[in-house]
Amino acid sequence: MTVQARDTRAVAAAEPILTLHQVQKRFLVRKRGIRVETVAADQVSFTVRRGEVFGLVGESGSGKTTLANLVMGLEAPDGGEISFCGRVIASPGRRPPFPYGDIQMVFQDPRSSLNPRMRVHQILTEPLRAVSPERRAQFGSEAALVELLGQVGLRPESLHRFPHEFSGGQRQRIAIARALVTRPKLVLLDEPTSALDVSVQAQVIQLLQSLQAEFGLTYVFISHNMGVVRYFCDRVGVLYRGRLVEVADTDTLFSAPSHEYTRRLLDAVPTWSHAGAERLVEEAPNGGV
Amino acid sequence: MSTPIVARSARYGGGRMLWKQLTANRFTALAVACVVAIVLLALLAPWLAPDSPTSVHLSQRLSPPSARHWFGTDEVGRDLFSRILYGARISVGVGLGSVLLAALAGTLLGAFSGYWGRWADQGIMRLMDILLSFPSIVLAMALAAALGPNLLNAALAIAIVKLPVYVRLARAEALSISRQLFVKAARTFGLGSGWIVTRHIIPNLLPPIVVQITLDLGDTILLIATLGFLGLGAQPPTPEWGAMISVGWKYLLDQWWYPTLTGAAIFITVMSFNLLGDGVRDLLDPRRHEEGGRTS
Ligand SMILES: Nc1ncnc2c1ncn2[C@@H]1O[C@H](COP(=O)(O)OP(=O)(O)OP(=O)(O)O)[C@@H](O)[C@H]1O
Ligand SMILES: [Mg+2]
Repeated sequence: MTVQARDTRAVAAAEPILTLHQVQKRFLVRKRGIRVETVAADQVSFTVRRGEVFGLVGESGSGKTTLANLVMGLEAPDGGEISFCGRVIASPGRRPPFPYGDIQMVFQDPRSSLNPRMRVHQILTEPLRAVSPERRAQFGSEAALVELLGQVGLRPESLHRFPHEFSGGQRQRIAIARALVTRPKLVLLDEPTSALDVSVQAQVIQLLQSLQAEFGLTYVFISHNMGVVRYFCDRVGVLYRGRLVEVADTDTLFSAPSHEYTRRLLDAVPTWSHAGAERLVEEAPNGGV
Repeated sequence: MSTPIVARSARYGGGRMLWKQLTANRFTALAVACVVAIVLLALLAPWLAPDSPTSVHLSQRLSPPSARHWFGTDEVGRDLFSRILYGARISVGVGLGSVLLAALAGTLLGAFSGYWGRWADQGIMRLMDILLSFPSIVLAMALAAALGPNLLNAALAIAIVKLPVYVRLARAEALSISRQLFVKAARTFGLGSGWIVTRHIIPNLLPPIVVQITLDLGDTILLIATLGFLGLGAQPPTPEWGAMISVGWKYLLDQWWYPTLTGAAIFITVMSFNLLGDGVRDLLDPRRHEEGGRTS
């Protein structure tokens, strides 16, 4: 099933959708009066191709979320350039216009990423506020929202509920629906399953796979979980202390890791073998979460 | 142990649940009853009062309580019961207005301060530190005197005195809410800070603000009366309790009912609102509840 899925995505020749060119980001933090500099992104360059799932792995603090924040325009880089669909969206100094609605992000913890005071309807329509009126009218109607909820496996009446009325997995489905409501081209997934139960994780991954085909999405998938990365991603970039030490096709990376750090990363997670990840996905019940 | 559940249900739950828990404590139930009665008396004063609060009957000056004048009359023969009833309107109305003004302005300032951070935060908080460095009564007197002694200015002065509490409270909450991912998500949608603060931050910091409002009501009513007593608030012949006592205290020995009954009105009202505030705080704020060591 995985092999089939990867074969049908002929991504190797596809055009680039997201390009990072020598991206640099430093943080200055004061620790007991002393200024400490953290280099969270150090000359990072890579390209994500249209239609692929690009994995970003690395230990905690290696700079994965920082890269996502830079792509989303939440932080400005200190050096380098980020382009999306051929247009520069981030560079040091002056802020280039950001293509709101075309890039979305799904966050780690759906308990924190959904405002507890908003109903699902409000949550889903919020990203539409910054897109064109035509797009807002087309995707913001009740019918369109109900259809979207169906596509992520939620009932129409969910629209009028509050987040606390849903389970963790269902909340992440709401967060995924919110990311898709503007019909983005690129979705950044920052550890989207790590706050969920193991059985639910597999269902969310499967949902993301089917949505990718349905919406024609490109994913950047940030994860600690090498098993899921091996199952889900086409190519993987390995981050180590802010530096991208290796980028390779998933199969190559797992069979012949070229960098010492990658090898250590793979050794550190023996329980998450490739077979384990597939078994996890196959064993999961198919009903709603 | 059960407080987090209580707090959560009060945060999300309906008003009926809150009402039930509020009246479970006997003192709080009494306070609720008194506050409801005071508010009703204030609202219905024009229908309940036997006489106009300002009509002078010099022939009946300083008469003792009787069937005709339940609370007696004052130095120009005005019916004291009517004046105290109308006084409730002023104390409760102006007190509530003043606290709500402080809460509204303070919440907005604090929420933006906490969300923006940096120099805006520094500036706003230093200003609040200055306000807080004065004893509240001294600051209220100075502001009321500077603005000019009348009821509206007294209310404004008290709102300014109460402002820093709300700014600090809202800012502290806004700081922790800003770290939540839903705020980060809203920023990725390209939404401005005005939208984020009013739609994401303020709705999530309202419970402690509501507690603070109920806690401040009693104190505010007392401050209004104090300013009135000192001649810095409502001016005669306005039937404001503090202003009434400022004249009435001279008659304490011979016409005791005049200052005593007016004072009793202030005491009962302030006491009721304070008890209500404590009850609401215990319900909605489990942290302070535990510190107080009370279990109910
Ligand atoms: N706003 C910030 N201010 C100061 N330092 C920061 C900030 N954001 C990130 N950092 C630092 O940058 C480094 C990279 O952090 P980042 O959150 O990108 O790591 P990560 O790979 O996402 O880790 P995790 O797997 O724990 O989520 C860390 O050392 C972190 O302390
Ligand atoms: Mg991270």
